[in-house]
Amino acid sequence: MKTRIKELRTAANMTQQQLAALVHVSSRTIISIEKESYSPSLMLAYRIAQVFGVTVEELCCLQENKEMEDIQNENL
Amino acid sequence: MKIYNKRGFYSGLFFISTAILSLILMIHKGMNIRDWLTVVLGLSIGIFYITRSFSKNASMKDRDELSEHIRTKAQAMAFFWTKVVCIGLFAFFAMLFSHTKDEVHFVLFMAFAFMLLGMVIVEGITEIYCNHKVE
Repeated sequence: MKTRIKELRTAANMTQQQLAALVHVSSRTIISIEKESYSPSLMLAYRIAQVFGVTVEELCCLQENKEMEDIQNENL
Repeated sequence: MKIYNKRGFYSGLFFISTAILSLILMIHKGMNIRDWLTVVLGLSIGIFYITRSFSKNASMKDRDELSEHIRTKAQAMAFFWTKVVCIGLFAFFAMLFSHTKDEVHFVLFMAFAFMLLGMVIVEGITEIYCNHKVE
């Protein structure tokens, strides 16, 4: 799932380790989320959104991801 | 000292208890290298888990949602592939027995049949339990 985590993190001059410590996960989880190889749980997405002062919808690009999923479902 | 990861702590305790039990049995029966290895391995794993459970950083890594996700997925895949291998071996020994009528082949065929049956029953019960938990 695409997210804006990397964009928001670099804008805030934060390392992956610092963000991981703030939201109580390992840096490996943050790395996987940024690489789009893992989708965060709702609670984790909410915690990260709170760190950057954005909504979960903005953080997780929900509208964009929904449109991509709809296209994939149409092609099935 | 605070326990940050209770599951890890109890896993460690389990390994240490098993190692101590093995040691007691070993002293009673007589010592050999294999039993010594079991004791040393059990104690090492137990101490490793317990020390990690007291560490905040290590516990965070162990209980991290990605680690849990990977662990669950790996266990599910392992069960699936074990079932596939069981089905394959069951079919193989069934065919072999039908040709050879050998007692050993029959025993192996039955062993894999029971193993498969057990796996199917466990899977069914687990699914019922998970469905019930969600409702």
